[in-house]
Amino acid sequence: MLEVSGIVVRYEDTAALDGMDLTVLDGERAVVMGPSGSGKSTLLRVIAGLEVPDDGTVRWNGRYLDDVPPHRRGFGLMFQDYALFPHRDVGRNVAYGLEMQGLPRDEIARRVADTLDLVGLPGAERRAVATLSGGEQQRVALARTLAPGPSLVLLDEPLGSLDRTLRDRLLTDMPAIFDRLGSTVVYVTHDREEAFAIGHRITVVEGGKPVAHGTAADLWRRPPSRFVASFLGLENVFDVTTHHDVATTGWLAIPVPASHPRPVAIAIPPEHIVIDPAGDLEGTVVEARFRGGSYLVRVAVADGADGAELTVDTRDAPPPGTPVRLRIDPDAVALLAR
Amino acid sequence: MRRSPFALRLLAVLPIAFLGYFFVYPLARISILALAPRGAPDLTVFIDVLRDPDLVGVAWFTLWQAALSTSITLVVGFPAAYVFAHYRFPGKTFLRALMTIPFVLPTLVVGAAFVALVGPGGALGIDLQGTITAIVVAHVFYNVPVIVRGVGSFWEQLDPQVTDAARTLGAGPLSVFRTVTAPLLAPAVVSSTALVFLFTFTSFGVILVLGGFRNATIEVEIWRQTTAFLRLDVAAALSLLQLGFLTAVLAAYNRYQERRAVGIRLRTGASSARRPRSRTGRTVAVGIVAATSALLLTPLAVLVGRSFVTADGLGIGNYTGLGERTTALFVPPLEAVVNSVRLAVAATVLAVAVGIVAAATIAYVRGPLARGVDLLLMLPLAASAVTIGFGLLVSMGTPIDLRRSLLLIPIAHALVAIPFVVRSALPVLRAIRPRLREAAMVLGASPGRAWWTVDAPLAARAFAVGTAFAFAVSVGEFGATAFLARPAAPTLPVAIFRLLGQPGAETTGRAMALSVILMALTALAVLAIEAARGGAVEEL
Repeated sequence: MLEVSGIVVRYEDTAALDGMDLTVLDGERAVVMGPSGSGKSTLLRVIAGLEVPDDGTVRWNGRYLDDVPPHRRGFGLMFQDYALFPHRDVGRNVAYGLEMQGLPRDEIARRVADTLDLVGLPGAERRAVATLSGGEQQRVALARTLAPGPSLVLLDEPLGSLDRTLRDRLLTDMPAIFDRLGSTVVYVTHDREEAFAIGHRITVVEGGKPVAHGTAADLWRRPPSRFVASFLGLENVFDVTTHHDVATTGWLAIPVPASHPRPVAIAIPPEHIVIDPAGDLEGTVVEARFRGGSYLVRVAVADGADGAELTVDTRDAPPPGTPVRLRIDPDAVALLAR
Repeated sequence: MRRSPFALRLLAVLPIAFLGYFFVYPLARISILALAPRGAPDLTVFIDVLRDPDLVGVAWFTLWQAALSTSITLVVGFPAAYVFAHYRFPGKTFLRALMTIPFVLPTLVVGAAFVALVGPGGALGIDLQGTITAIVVAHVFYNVPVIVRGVGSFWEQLDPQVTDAARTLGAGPLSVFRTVTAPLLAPAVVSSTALVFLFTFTSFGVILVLGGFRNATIEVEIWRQTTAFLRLDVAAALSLLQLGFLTAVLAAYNRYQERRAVGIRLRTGASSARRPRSRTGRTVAVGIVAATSALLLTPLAVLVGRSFVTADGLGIGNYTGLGERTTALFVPPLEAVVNSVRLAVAATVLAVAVGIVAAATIAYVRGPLARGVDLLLMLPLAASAVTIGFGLLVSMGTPIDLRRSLLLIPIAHALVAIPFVVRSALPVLRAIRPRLREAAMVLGASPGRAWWTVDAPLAARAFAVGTAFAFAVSVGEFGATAFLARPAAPTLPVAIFRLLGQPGAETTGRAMALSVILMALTALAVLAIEAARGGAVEEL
């Protein structure tokens, strides 16, 4: 189990990490998600031992790692731009960590071959690093990280620079590989899709500290704050005013428990708004965008709405200008802290 | 591949004609002198040279002093390169600028500075003139910046993630250095070391001043055979032997670089250098920076100090006396300053004109023509300045008699300076996207107009750097000038050499004053270079 607590890293005047906590169970894939500059990469460097924090501790299976240099931690770190050794071919890149363990030659060769198989590059040992495509480099970097059998795998935006098709394929390949090896993983990304596909649990960081934590479904359904909601790309996020435990937007009123922190914001998932002649909210279609399978329709809310627009997920799109009535499922409305 | 337009290929004529007549032709004359002195092939001179124990001794000395100087330079320069690449510290910019100076500091100024430091009555109180120690120390001073800049700047740009990756894969600090840093750094170390070896192997001015009568390199011997013994055939044979050896070294070096070439991705932009974090790190860094600064500054400071020491105490007598005739020169020393500046202006114009046309040829013309010009231009680097001077001396009588021409010295200087101009201009000319020129032509500019209105302004800074380099090289050039300067019209380095050769505190004082003036002239050029460089070369 990895326990990171209270990590602070300052560069000159700015703090890259400012009280970062993270717990990862054995065999778990934890995703750390945040906008660029939120300190995600620095966190991985601290865990790997490449960065000495100004404050805070890192524990692995209960043992403090402060005095353990990076090469004795037995963790694997895959860098954002791969950092392959330009003077070694593919096989010798993957062999590097095994050589450092002092394994016999034939065993190294065998494990290099196995690992290249695992990442889908069988027989690539003799190829020069410079001749690899982006996707191949990514696979070699992953193989190099996994070959020594690290007890913890750290990945820093590993799919960041790949094109969409390749990314989608690796998004299904990588969890399968980790499952097969039973790896414990910390995966850093700014991308929602990657986070949802990889992570058993997700930690959202902002300004060098965690601001949300949970499974993908939890965070999507009940984002704890307005920042998290908009970072996850939730639609229909509104600030609301509260009177006596009732939140109102002018066109919608929902109860707020007394214990919920004020001020309050709400998020309404587009799939929980239905175009229904019996609905009690009036509006006009502004625009409809096909996104494969369904349409996202923007509807301008009619009265007392200050130009509010709702995004609705629907199978059929009425043309722009069509008056519609909407029904909102009050149970699906998420209450957020502002 | 499409051939380049004829007009563009015509550009190549200027550099080929210039180098052909003033470099290749003289080399041919040297070869004839050495291999066929009486018109028919005759190897006796060659064989005599190889059998002469004195000359074999000279060659042996040349080799081992170069090897020794190079090794010590590497040992001294490497830690400084590390500190420069990895740490930020106060005064770094200043020290970096200081590192440029030895590149262009004239050898005679270095010689004079070390006479002031470790010569008779020198600041350190020990007389090392005429010893190998003085030579090696001067060589180390002169060449440490080559290592620091060559290795340090490359090291700074190595992606630190690559070494980080090795650490997370289980490599300790020593393993990381052995398996990752050293192999990646090797090409930079080898090329800087080769450069230092080349410089010290062909050392001329420093040895002439500090080596005394016993220690002579091949360069010094060529000069002696020519001027003292009038044995042009022996000098020619020595030139050829040295040229052959240097070409072999360069060829081996080229093969190594091609074999080692790996696609190393260098980081551009922000440097990751920062202040040392641990106390030991800080102490070591401060120590290395202090030692390097002392090595670079002490000789120059002592030189300036010595120039103010006169027979009646401290004063400016050595400077005011520069207007008077001395027995060492036929003219007042001050005239040498005027001569040098005039010649340098002429040499700079020549070098910049030929150099920029050559750089344009290499940058824009496709195919073997460009590669040929590129190779031809680098040849003067393999030949030494002494060979250039000697070659012009023995060849410029026919077919056109240029021996009395005022342009002979500027031509020699331009040959030495052209590679600097080309190396400054070429990367920028190559970096300018052809799209920009095409846009200009679509908007109605003729090809020449397009170049003049787009490329020229974008490359102006690089041209300025090349110009300042050419001036600095010319004003301090000694190896070729020693063969070509007329006694009645000495250049600054020639005058310093003659004054240092005469005994007496007064002439030595004058030599120091002239050296300070020469140093100031080159320092001005360095300031111009640093100012013109401003920002780094960017993709344009």
